[in-house]
Amino acid sequence: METEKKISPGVWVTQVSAVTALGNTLDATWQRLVQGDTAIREVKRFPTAPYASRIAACIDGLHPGESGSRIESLIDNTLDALTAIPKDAFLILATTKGPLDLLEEKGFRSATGTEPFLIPDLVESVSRRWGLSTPGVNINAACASSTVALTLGGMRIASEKADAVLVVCADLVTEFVFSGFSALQILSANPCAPFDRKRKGLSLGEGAAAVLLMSPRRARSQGISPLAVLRGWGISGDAAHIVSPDRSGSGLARAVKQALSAAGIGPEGIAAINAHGTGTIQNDRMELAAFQSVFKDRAILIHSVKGALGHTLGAAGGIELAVSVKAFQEQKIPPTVGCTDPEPLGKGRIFPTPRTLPPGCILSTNSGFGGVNAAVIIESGEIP
Amino acid sequence: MNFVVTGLGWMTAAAWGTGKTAAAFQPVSGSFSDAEARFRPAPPYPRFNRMDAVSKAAFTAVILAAKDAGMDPSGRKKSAGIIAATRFGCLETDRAYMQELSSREGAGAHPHRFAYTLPSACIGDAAIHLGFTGPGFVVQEKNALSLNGLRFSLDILHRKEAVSMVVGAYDTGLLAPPAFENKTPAYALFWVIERAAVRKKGYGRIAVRKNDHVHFRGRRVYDLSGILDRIRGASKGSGTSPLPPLSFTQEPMQ
Repeated sequence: METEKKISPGVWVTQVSAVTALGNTLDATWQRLVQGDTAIREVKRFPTAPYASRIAACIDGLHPGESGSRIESLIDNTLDALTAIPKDAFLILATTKGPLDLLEEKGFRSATGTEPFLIPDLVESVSRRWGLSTPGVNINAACASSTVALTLGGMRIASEKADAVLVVCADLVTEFVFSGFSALQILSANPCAPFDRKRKGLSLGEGAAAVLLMSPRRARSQGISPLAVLRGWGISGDAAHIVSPDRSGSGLARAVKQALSAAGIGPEGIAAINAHGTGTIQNDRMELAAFQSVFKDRAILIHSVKGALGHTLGAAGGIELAVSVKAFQEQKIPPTVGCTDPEPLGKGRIFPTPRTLPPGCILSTNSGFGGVNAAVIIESGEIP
Repeated sequence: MNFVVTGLGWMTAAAWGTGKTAAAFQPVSGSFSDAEARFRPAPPYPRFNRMDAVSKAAFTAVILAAKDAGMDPSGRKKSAGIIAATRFGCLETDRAYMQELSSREGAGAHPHRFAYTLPSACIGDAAIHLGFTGPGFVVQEKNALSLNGLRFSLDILHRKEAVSMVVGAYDTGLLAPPAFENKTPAYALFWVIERAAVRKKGYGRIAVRKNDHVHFRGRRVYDLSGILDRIRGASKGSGTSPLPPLSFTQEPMQ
């Protein structure tokens, strides 16, 4: 089956932007990320006393948008950093809960009246305000939403069904979500420590990313060069458990192998992994098992940004892809903030300080509730 | 590349069925609970009674579609995926969770209910039950019957990233805009689509043609209901009698 798969001709990443709790631009986020800073701190937005944790990575000064939801202004701030979005770009939003703050405050009714403002309304609102010719869709694949959205965008272009796809990923920190993760007993009382032996769980974060994908033909015709090339992708299901990953890592390993196959490269073509790395006991163990099965004993660089940015849920994969684009530009892999004593399978691979990026591609992975796993492979746009 | 619709499963507030009873598919106002109370997955799924109503309906329609397509009903791993489109998704569960959170000041938020505040939880359950190891995700849009999810599934099949895809739509039947007072028809409706090289017989061939237009049985369809109408058209006059699968020789690709 996998040997029959089509090798992707490559989809160009022509623009990226990100807004995180660490910085209101991708550059600002990157600067603090490589310094080893963390944006995880005490939550002021809602009372945290009933919950297992009091911390998250919230964006300061994030005001409600036109609808009354903060997610609109978060998305607008992210898209403001892009120049010239093609009007015919197909919009794929990736959010798990969208304007959930409206449910908490107004029962999902928008600020302008009694009309509800749900995720499909958010999609249409983004499309309309940015002048796109089609309404678009939202992809919900739990914490793998962005990476699945990037995969679908890549497939639309590789199948020559679209020339441009705008992937917009965003999620907020809300009491609703905070309480749920607390009830699941996977929130860490201290800032999360991905892949560390003493990790106690995840820290939530909020943020957004925008990624403009284009066919090489379309981009060349407009004189646009790629920042990076989306070479391969894979999506798999564990078919094991609804809120826990398959401990063997076989589902994620299958997604990674699919991505390698689609990219037409072997494991040796991967220089570094931008892992999901949530800081939960089960996720991080599963991921290291998956990477071990694919990359064997090779000392491949692995890192997670969640100790700095928190777990941004549906936005995670998009933000991580944006960070990987910066990693190519700066030839550097950011540190895994919070990890000082890595799990045995992470030793010699995971570091609390930045590392030089070796030549090759970056693999970015995410996994989510429902057993979904997604992987994308990108290479530097400077490779001819 | 050619694809075939090989199975159909559905649930409404009143009943459930497969392609053989497609003519009986009639969304009615109300919630799923009456129909769900009578439905029992076979083989049993331990989490079924812990799922919320809309998740149960989507789960039921997916496993009925798989059964209709003759797929192995056991949880043995297979290269298949699920794409479900929805407008309201888990809105009812979101509201119930929020109510619980508000009334108990956060102390009693239930982890079980929280899992179903993700609209993709139901397809995760169906994938576990059926052993599907392919892509699984939800497409949220105002018109859940649009062809976007179907196009994604055909992209996946075309690139051979799964052997079979179950694709369809579901929506809750309780809370309709603008005022969340009127009930909308509740439904869950799913098809199994496979490459023609894998399965030779089914309800008809489906393909994406020029300009991303979707054709079923040689004619363009504009949304998912067009596929259902064409299948129901074949069963007109037969009521709920079995709808015989159509072979390629009867419905050639045009």
